Amino acid sequence: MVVEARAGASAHPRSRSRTTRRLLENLEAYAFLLPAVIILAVFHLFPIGYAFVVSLLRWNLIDPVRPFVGLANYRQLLTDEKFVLALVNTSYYAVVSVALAVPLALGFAVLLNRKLTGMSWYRTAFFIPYVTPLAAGAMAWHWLYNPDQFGLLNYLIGKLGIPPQQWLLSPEQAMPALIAVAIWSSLGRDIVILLAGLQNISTEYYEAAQIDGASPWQLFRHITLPLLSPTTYFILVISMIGALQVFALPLFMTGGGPLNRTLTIVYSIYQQGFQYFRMGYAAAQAYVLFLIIFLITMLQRQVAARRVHYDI
Amino acid sequence: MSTGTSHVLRAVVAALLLVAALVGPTTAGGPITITFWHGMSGVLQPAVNELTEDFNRLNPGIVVQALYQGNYGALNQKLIAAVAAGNPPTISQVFPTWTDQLIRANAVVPMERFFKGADGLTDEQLNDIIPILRQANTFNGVMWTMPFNKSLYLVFYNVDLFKELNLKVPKTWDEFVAAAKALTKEEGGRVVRYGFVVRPTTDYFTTMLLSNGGAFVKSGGKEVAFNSPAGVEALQWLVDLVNKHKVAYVKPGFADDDFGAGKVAMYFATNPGLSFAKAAVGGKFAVGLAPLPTKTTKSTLLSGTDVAIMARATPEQQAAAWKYIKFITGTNGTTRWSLKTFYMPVRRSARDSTLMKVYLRDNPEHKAGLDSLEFAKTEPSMAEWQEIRDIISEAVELAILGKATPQQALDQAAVKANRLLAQRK
Repeated sequence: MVVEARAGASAHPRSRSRTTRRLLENLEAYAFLLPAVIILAVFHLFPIGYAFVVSLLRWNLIDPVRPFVGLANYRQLLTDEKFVLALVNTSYYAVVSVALAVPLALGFAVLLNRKLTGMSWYRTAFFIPYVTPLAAGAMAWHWLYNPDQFGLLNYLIGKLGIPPQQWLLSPEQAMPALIAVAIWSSLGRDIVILLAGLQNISTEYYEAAQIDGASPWQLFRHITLPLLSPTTYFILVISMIGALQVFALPLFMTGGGPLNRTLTIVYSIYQQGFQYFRMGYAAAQAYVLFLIIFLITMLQRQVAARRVHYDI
Repeated sequence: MSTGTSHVLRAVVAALLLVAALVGPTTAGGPITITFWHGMSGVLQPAVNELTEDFNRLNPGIVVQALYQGNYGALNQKLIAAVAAGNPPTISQVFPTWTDQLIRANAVVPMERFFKGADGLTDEQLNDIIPILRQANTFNGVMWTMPFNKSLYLVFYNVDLFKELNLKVPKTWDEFVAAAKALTKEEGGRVVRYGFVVRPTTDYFTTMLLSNGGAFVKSGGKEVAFNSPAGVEALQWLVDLVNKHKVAYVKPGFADDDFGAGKVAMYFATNPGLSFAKAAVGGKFAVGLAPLPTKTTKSTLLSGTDVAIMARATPEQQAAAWKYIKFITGTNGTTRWSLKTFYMPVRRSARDSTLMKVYLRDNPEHKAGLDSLEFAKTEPSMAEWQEIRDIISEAVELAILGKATPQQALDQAAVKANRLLAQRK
């Protein structure tokens, strides 16, 4: 009885000290996490939840009366030609820009992965557009795209006997013109990431294959491509997410025009929310965009499970 | 003993000073500080600052801080965000469409409360404000804001070219087309100078809608009227200038650079555009201003903003704000403002003042603006009109680019605009 009690008494403090120690350790971890958690909660989690609440209201941000309208904002989206056009424009932009940018970046990455003198200069040259602020880049491009014969691009194609083009002022050419700037801007990032992926591939594979008499194309097709697939997959995912959120380019270069042909979903959210102050409607559009990005990323994961090879 | 007392004394004094420092600003009767948010850039900003500094010098108890917030779009966003955050300025420049929204949010106080108060305006002073401007600042029978920087659309033209070609300033649509034809110049099968430039904007169309006797909305304000035969004819006229007569080209951006470079001889702009036109021309030729061409009705479109006092400010700040507004929109203030910026004076007494007459003798081109003031019209001031403007500009673009006939484009726009107006309570 006494012994038992003693044992219990001695066991108890020991276990308490262990839990206390664990708690203290964890407390330390929590303390380090706290700033990040607070920032995430205040600036991400709360707005995400609040935006959903707002998407159920009719509200102009300052009116004290903000009636609950249920899913009316979402229903309105289905019949809003302008939003449907924004969806079409954004899909066009995303598919074309990603489909062109990734192969292009891969091509340049393979070229830049050689041991040549001055290679670091070439790599820098490709990376500069990415670190150039988009606003500054857009201004320079805006000047290149000047629609009369004084624009640099029109001057250059004029030398080839092509008449001056309208570029950003033409409903048909504006979006391709924006895509060109987008590719110019992001190419450096993609190249650097792919380059890192290429340099991760062990040279032993190439040596072994060369001994077996593989041609350069076979090396690329059967070694480089499969072993680079985790990197390609990563670039595809972030490029697609970035492309679906495109905003700055139409804002700086076209204002969504001409004829709303460069109106993207995020530009539409901005327009509804901060030009027409229809916060509920803007929030509903934001949620639809979230859903689209979520679904596409899930789809990419499904494909990735079958197509991506990890070199283990 | 003496050191002990001085210790105590020092402590008491220190405590008092601390208290005074903490409560000082509110109870010591220091100057009342108020803020004025505006979107006046370029040569306009120094003009705002000069008026404000003069006011501050004349009113030692008040400090007005005139704060530039970026262009009107940025000002609008910042103002709405500041109202939502409960921290708005004391005074802000506002477009009538914003005022409508701010009134419904209880964010502004009516100007009437102040000009009918102790430090108010006499009937004579009130009626001195140009009637259309008073009307444009009145919502449901109450004057909520005060007109401040008001401009109107005019024809800007190259005086030297008109002299060289012996042309008269066109008064009607037909004369305008004839002048544009005479001014268009071809060299080697390519047009090197156009008579006119069509900016596919809302205002290029609506000014012509007005001059053709058309209206923005049907009476009652529940449905738009810009797709009337008068509107269709107005848009067709602009399209014809480009496609049929080939005397105009299309440019979405500002036209002053092309005008300065001699690529176009006439364009529409509002009076403060003169400082930009003069900068672009750089003295190469004289810039003339004329009233807009008329089809059936002499008219032009008013543009520019008013000033509002925000509800969140304290009564003392609001009183000080009114004093400031009274100063900048008074006969003296608005005259000086007008001479510096080319904006319209908001008072008849300013328009007819000796100072203005002397000025007009040296700068006769400004007569066109002052003359147009009597027949100027305003857009509807409903908050929804902001979006309807974009809807109209889309229709104008469609028609000018030949993607739809004026009738189709305007009818489509009317459907969309009416849907918005129907939602208005």
